[in-house]
Amino acid sequence: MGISYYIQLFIAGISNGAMYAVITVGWALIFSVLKFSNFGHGGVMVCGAYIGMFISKTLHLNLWLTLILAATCSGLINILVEIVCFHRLRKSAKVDSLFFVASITMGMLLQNIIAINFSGTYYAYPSFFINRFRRIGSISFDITNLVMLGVSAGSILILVIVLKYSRLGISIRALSMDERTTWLMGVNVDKVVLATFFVAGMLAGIAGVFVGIRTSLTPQIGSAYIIKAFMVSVIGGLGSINGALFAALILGLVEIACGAILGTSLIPVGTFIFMLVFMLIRPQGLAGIFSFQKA
Amino acid sequence: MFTAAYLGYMLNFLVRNVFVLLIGMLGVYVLTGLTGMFSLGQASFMAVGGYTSAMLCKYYGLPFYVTLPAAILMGVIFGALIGIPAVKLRRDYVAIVSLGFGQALVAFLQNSSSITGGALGLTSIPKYVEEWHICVALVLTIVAIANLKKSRFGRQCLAIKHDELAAASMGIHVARIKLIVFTLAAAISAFAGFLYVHSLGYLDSGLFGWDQSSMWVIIVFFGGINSLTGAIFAGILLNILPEFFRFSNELRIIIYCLIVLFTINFRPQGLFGETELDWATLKRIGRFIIKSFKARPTNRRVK
Repeated sequence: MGISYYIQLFIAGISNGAMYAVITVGWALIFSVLKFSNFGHGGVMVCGAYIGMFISKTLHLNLWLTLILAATCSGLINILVEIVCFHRLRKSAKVDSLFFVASITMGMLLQNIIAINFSGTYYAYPSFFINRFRRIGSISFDITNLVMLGVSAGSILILVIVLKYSRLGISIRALSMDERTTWLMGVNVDKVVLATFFVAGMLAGIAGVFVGIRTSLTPQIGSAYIIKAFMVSVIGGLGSINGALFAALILGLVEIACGAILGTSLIPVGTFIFMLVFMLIRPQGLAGIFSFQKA
Repeated sequence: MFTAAYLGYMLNFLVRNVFVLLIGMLGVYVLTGLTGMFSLGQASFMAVGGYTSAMLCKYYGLPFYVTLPAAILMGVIFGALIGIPAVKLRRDYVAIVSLGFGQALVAFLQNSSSITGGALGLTSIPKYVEEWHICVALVLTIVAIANLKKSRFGRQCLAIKHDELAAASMGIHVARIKLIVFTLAAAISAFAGFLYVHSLGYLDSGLFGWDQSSMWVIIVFFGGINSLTGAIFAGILLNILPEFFRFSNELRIIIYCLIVLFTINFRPQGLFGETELDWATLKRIGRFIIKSFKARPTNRRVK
């Protein structure tokens, strides 16, 4: 068990973390703007995964076009989720917990719609790469992981640039600070919220395609990954995108390490203990600001 | 459809499955409806109580008056263990800690096949809980929680739910009450687990994941978080609803989700809102009925 074993574990951990990073950044975007946990994000991810699979199978596209099309479709589905589910709640009741109930139900609904139609047969992504596994010396790695790392990094970079420099990004950041003042400044908050959901849906679609390629394609991946996204976001500081990025990489590495020490099936136990210890040491997360909750 | 056999089956199903889950859900009502803490892992405390009692009974042959207190005691211990870090953190963090604990517990139970039967479950556990035991237990729990809500402790919990800072400034020890409520909810769920195990004879850890816990939270919100009657009614309704749609297996969950979404959107305070079915409400209903009996034809149109 020389150094190559640890390098292999490290690469596996980093690619695991990259997968969590994309879905967590989408989740954290909605959390920072609307201040609630959107548990329906996983459902949109599953939709993106299945749509990507069908697009790539029937139209025989390569990876990049599949990603773009799946991301667009997931964005549109997420807009639909917002109109159906959250729009009225945002206007009328300001109880935070109702958003949670509605989002979980929406996620369940999306997953079950997919499960009804598609869970009978076994679907898998067509192979996009001719020679998937390469070797350098004694380290064998998966090209998919590297591509996923690159695409994740690229999409998050694009998101950060959009948030920082574009007009929509500035509106989103203003909305995350104070909704009423943003209305007063002349920004159409409803449209900005729709755009936020579209962007988050795109990220969920990208994450879904990669989860579908790398691991299995079942309707249950939605609930599994949304829990991971929640944990990553808590470690990174709720609502902070930079923190989510680093926390995703850390959690990916911790999971692979737990898997190597305890065995793959006891990974949730190790993750929970890590999270508990981390939150006792630093409760505001990596990048979060500790705001005292008044009510 | 309404033959005697079908009604008998429905009654049996109602008591065995729905009422036991209802007792577990009442623990969530105490936690979320009374104190406002969001916990996504309550079903795992049901697993704690159930597995404790099942393992003690099966491997050591202890009678029920030993395993019942043992199950509740384990529920209390685990509740305190998880509650101590959880009550010191923000409201969102209670959800994540309980969620993580629930997932970790279920993963641990599914993988320790030697002790707990793993994914296949424990079988041939002696069944000595009959239906009337479950009904009596449910009635006792409801009476206890209704009295809790009216008591001083219940009012303190409601104060914490509405505004923590104001409650603390009124002299309520927020962290201690939250810990007591968390432990109480865990104990109620452990009791439900004990009833579930000994009425079914078979225990499997698939029922106690975070989807069951989140379904309990959804039920409490659906019925109106301020109303105990609402929680009971919504619990019975939403647990029986999939049974009526048994003929179309796929549409069950979709119809359930649509009903919940519809109610949340158009009546966000839940089905029952603030009203409870207690003496004041019954008097109000009585007065309304009497008034509608005494109505006379009035307002003849004057030409």
